[in-house]
Amino acid sequence: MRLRFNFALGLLLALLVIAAAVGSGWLAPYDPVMDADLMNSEMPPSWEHWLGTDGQGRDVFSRVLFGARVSLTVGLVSQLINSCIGTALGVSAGYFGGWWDDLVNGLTNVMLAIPSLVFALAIMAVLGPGLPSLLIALGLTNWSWTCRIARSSTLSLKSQGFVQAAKTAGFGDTNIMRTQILPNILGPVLVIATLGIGGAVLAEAALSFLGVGIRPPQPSWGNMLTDARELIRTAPWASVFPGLAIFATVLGFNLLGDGLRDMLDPHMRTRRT
Amino acid sequence: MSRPLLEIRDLTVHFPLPRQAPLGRKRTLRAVQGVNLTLNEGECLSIVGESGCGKSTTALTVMGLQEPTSGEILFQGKPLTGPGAPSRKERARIAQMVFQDPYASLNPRQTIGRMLSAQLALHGIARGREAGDRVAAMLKRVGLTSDHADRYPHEFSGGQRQRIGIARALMLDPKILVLDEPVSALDVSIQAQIINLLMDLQETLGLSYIMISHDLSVVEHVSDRVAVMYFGRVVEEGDWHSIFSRPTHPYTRRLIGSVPDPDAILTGARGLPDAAPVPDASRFSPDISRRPNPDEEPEPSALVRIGESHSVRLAQ
Amino acid sequence: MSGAPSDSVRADPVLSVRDLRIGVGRNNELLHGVSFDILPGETYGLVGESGSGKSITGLSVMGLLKRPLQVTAGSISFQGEDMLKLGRRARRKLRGDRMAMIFQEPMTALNPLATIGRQIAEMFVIHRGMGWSEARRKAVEALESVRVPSPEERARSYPHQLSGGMRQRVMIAIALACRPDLLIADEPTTALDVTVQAGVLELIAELCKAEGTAVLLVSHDLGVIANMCRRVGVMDRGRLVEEQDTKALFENPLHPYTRGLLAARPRLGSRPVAGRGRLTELDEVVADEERGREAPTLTTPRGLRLEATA
Repeated sequence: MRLRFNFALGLLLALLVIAAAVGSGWLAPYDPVMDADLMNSEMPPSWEHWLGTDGQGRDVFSRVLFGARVSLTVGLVSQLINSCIGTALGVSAGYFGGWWDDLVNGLTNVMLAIPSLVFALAIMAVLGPGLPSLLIALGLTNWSWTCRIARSSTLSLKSQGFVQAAKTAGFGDTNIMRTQILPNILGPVLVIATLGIGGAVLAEAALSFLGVGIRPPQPSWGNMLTDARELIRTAPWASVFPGLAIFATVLGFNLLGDGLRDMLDPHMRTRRT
Repeated sequence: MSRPLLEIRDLTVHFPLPRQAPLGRKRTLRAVQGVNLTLNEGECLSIVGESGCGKSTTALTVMGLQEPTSGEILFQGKPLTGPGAPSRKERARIAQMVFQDPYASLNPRQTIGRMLSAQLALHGIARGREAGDRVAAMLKRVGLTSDHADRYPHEFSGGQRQRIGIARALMLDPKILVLDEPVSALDVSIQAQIINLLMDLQETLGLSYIMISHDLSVVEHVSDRVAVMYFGRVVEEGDWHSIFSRPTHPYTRRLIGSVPDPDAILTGARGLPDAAPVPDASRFSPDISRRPNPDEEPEPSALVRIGESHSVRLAQ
Repeated sequence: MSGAPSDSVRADPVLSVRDLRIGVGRNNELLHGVSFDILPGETYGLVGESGSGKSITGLSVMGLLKRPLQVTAGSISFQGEDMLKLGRRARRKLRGDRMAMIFQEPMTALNPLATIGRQIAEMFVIHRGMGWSEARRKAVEALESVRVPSPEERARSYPHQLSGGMRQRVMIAIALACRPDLLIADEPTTALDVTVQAGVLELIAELCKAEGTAVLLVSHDLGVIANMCRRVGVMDRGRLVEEQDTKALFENPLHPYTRGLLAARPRLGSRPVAGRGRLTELDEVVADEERGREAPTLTTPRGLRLEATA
């Protein structure tokens, strides 16, 4: 019962963020960049500005909505890249074994040893700020868990009869990995990807906060926090609402991922019904 | 006598074992050591023994799922291993395998029809409707119906799954079927059905079987010839009747003697048939009173003929 | 039957199961009213195919049914006490002490991170309140009693260092550590090699006979049942269809399902020298409609042999 409630809450939050991102163009009452009104800066929430205005008089509500676009794009695309890299490396390493497995394993361990944010920071420093480099930086640094799971699942699947049977039927290795192994590990990979979206959103905020992510005046939740840092006493709404948005998104995708995992896990399924 | 369909010559498979100490000596597991076996056309050869005796490794080598350390396997005189070996695809038309565990041997995310027709497409045998017809015909042949093709494995019982496994193995019309404990995971009543099915198929399709099993009552029923393996070596070999009416190697005798046979137990008539006489001044090898070390070079010994198509491993 | 010598033996049964029903919720019934008695020192077999309900019967006696399975009706009385009315704590105290269980797969039933000796000693500490040092000494003795070679040394090893047969011996040592009155053995030798099976069965039989432990042996293997049991219940589709003394069951099966089961197995030495001969299939003997019907269990009275030997 509790599990299902969590999953529903996660789904609701995730859908909310998606709706905000997709509908920001219509929903936002003001332009997030152009409608700066220095006369009306640091206004508390009111009927005109639901969530108040920031230090340059821009509507916080509009900026939060547009920020969702950046966050969601970063979350989804970078996790997609991560899942592809992790699955490809993990499945091939588990399937072929040998030196390739050793190499992939070593690489995974290196990735796990370096904090991914530091790694992403380094890549951003090389590529320069902006959305594309953010996607690359976050897409290349967070595949190690996917890789590990994909590898261990492949190892256990490899010895099962149906994979052996496909070999003896003459199917090639790529075909076997695609048709026999991949469909059977998609569940856990999906779960990790969903859990990772929250992490990527957080990482984007952190990088933007540090000034290497999305460059102002483009709104992203991270750089909104940077901007509002000095106004925390005079205009707390300017930092509280983007913060809440990050919180809700991370929580939403984490609950969604947890729920998915429980639903895909046969042990949990029998215990629940 | 015709040429054998399959010959296993001096097959040896070794696996490296982890060293006991960081700088300890290298250890190897001698899973299969110098096994010679032949399979004639239309025959069922059973390899029996306990887990770890090398029977499964031998079967996997025949299937090309395990590389031999040395020795060769010939199909109609042509090598299946080493240089000049056929590709995986060519090999698929020669031998197929039926697996022990009917639950792990079917991909849970593929319908039965897709699984079976994919093989036909891969080998360019049939596509589309024709493939569908062939799948339907094969399902009927193994005692299922054509509408089973649209279902997923979890919708079937263990016995039905094993029938599907047999259908999969027969799809490419192979000459040889390797049966790895084909009924040991099934219920007693289902066992009889699957055994009957396998015997019928062998007759109608002219198949040759290599059956791996530890269940001697099944082996006695189905086999033409039997090879008993113990710690990587064949210790006794012969036609089924010689093995069961004259079990000679102490290990064979122990195996047959430990089959829990209700009738023998209840009537109290629990006796083994006499062993065949062996040449003087020789003893059975290996000595089964102590557990051989699979890491050691085995003592010199040879399979010696003690009857017309019955041999046993002896050492001087 | 009413002779004097039987009075002392035909005491109250150790275990008395009456009209036991197990289901998922109230509607989905898997076990449709099973009744049987096990006398002190008796080895009782439950034979049947997978899904016949034999394993859940054993588990429910132990009180180890896993949700969503639950006992929906009937009674399980162990030494005169209704187990189903007992609290969780009280049942837990009985388990391992007065009743014990051996499972098919000893590897999963043993704790991989504790030494064999510790796992046996635990039983004495929990149920007998012994100190660890004394319990360890008893554990080595227990290992010796199940004929594990060099028990001192073995007590210090971990489950993965033992072979399957040795592990099952350890399981037996744990199960019999506190000399229970009832041992439930669920397919105790199915995962073992044939040559090892015989030794393990013999060990169970011998130890239980020495202590007068009653055994409920659950198996699909008629050979194992014949080897071990005085009396057998045949289960099919959630019902106990027949109960007889073992010898009588094999000689004169009453229920068509039992006849089918006996006919379907490949028997050693049954193959004609010439040719191969089909095996009889179960459904050639018993039609599907005849199975799973509501019908009273076919039961014969217990034979006299039991009183004479017990």
